[in-house]
Amino acid sequence: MLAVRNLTKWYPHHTAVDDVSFLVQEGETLVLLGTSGCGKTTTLKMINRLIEPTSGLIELNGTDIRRQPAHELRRSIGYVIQETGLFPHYTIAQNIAVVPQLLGWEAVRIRRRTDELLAMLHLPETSLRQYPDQLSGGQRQRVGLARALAADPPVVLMDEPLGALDPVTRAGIRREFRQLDALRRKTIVMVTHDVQEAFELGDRICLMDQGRIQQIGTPKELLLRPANNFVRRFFDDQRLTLQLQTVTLQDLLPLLATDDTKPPPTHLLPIETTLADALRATTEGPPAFVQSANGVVSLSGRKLLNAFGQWLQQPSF
Amino acid sequence: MNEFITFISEQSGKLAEQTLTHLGLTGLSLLIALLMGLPLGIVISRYSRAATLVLGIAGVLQTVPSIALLGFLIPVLGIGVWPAIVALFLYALLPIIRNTFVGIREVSPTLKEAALGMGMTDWQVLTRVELPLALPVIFAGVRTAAVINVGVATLAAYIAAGGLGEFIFGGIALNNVNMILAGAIPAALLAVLVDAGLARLQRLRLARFRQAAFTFILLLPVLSAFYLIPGAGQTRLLAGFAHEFIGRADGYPGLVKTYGLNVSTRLLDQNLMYEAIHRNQVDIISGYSTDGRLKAYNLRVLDDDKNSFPPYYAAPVVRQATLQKYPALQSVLELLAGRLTDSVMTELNYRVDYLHQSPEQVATRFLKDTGLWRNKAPGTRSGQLVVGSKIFSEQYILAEIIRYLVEGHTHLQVVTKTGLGGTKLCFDALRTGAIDLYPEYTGTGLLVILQPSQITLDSLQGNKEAVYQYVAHQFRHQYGLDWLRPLGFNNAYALVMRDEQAKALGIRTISELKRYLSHAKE
Repeated sequence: MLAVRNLTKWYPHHTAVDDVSFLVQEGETLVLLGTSGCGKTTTLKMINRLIEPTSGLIELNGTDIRRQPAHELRRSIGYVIQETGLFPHYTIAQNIAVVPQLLGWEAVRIRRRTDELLAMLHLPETSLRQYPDQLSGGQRQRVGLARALAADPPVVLMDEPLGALDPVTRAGIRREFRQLDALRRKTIVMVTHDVQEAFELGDRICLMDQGRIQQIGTPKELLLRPANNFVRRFFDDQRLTLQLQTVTLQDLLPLLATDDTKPPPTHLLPIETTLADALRATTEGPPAFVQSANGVVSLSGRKLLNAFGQWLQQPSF
Repeated sequence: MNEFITFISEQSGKLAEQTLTHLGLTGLSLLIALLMGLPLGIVISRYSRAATLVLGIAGVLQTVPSIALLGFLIPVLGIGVWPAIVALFLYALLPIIRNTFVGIREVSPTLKEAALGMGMTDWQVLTRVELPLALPVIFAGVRTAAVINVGVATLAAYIAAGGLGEFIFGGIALNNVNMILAGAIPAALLAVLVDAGLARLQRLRLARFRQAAFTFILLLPVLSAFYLIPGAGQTRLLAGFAHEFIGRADGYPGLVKTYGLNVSTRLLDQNLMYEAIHRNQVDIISGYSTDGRLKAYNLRVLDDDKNSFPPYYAAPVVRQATLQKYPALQSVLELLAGRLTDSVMTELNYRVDYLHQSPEQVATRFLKDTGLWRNKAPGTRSGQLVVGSKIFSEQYILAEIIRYLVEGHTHLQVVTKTGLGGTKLCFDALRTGAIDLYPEYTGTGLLVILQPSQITLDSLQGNKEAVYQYVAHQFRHQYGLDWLRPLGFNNAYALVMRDEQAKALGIRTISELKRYLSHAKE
């Protein structure tokens, strides 16, 4: 568990981070979201001590991170940075092996781990002897992730990890990242200014502005119960898209009428399917269904949007 | 062309030795500069406040003219290898420090942060990320330094450190084009080869380049070892002779012929010789009999008891075209004839060299004392006269005397071009009209410029009047240049020792020196 308590960073002419506190549970992904200059990156870099705080405390599993030398702390924390930060004079294999080597692993063990990571991240074997500039942007991003995961650290910090990619590649890699078991088990703190990315990858989002936390909570909470006007306005542009991604069939189930049709089991959608995915399923494939307590519900675009309309009217939101 | 090839083949042994010395000087100074500059560059890349200061100092050192830098170093380090290496080292320092600094500074901050974030220590960031990535830039600095050093190392010959400059400066002093080329061409080739070789290294792919650069750095000490301090067959007394003296038939070769003299010699710039003997760096030098420093440093001229040195009476040499253009000029210049005797000239030289009076002051005073002074007439000047001089005090003084004299007695504007690096430079400048006149010595005109056959030389027999007539006649007909009447003094070559040492060893004449040396060898 990562605990950040009353973290503050002053620079001579401004306060970058102002009394920030949050907890990240084991295996949880917390996204630090905000516009540039909001203090999210400064906060992240204080966690691996690239920046030292003016005041406040950071604890990793109950221990103050200042108890050990900075370089030892950093070897136990994975770090993925914008534009990958791969070393151009190292081959891909050498890049992946940086932290294991610093930790003094044997060559055989490093080699085995590298192979594992290659398979996991769908990188070709031949890339090992290549240099970063010979790889595509997406591949470099995967190598950046492989490097961060090489020594299997329990905590991973990501600073705009997909910032340098085009939107299409970005969406693809994001989906891959989301499906990686290796990442699901990690405690992750990720910095981004991309709302979509925050909603897709974050278990919880910490929205920051001017060095302060404006709201911290699940994507749904931020979207539906904004703590202040800043939070409300922040999502205005993409509200509908975000709602479609956030509302699940489970939310809508009380508003959907049950019918008696017996569906073939293959077209049964899981209850946590988002509205966006459910709509895609009804327009693209054969008729889709969802299982409710009372029976089976057949889904159509009209029916779903209807229910969504009613759901938005509910007084609690 | 053929003469050049003959010269090269005759001197091939010496040429090879000089080339190796040259490489050794360059290599050793480069090695020291690397050992010093690299860490310094790294340090200032960490402490940016020191950077401005260190780069500033290194930059200033770089702008000091090389010959001046050598001049500064003589009083501290004497002559020979060390001041040369220190000077070259100072020149190599700036490119190395600056490129190390810039190379490290230009490594992307993202990469440095990534390296830190991975858990590298500061030292690991430096050695695994910053230095490898900065290496091409650092190496470019080494390349610049190497090429600069190959060039500047030619000047090492001025202070008895050897190298290809020996041929170049010897050749200039002796008016021997083949000799100049035998030094200049290899020096230029060496620079081109060093540059091309290092450039080739630089183009290698990073991984191989790192190996190659490493090998190169390992090789430097080996290169440096080429510098073998000439020490074989040393006599107990060490001589420091000017290039001109060693090469000219009437200089050292004449002594060898007449006296059978054989002494260990170092090549030395003629202006540094006195300082060197004064500081006990050498024991015998090839001085001039009217030099003011003889008096200043308490030096003794060894008596030329077998008349080996020919007469060197000074006289202004003027372009005929100039004399025709300004008919009054000749009579004005000849006001000086016979006025500057040996003792007068030595005194004037002494005032400049030792009392540090300016040549202008000394010239003014001399003209006033002899009643030749006239205030410069007001009004516009009707024409211009360019007076040249060689690069030693006596010539500076003569140039100033001529300037004040001519400006006082005529309406000509006089411009001086002093410090021309040797007989050949002065003579060529005079022939091409870059200067109108300069003071020359009869012996120099005879032996350096005219270079007559041995028969002619024998017929002149070192006779003052005969030499003057011969030289004046030949210059008029061959080059259209006129020798005016001699100024009076005979500035001949002289072997010079510290008075104290000469007394202690009982040496008063060159014959006695010869006897002492033969005796000492046994």
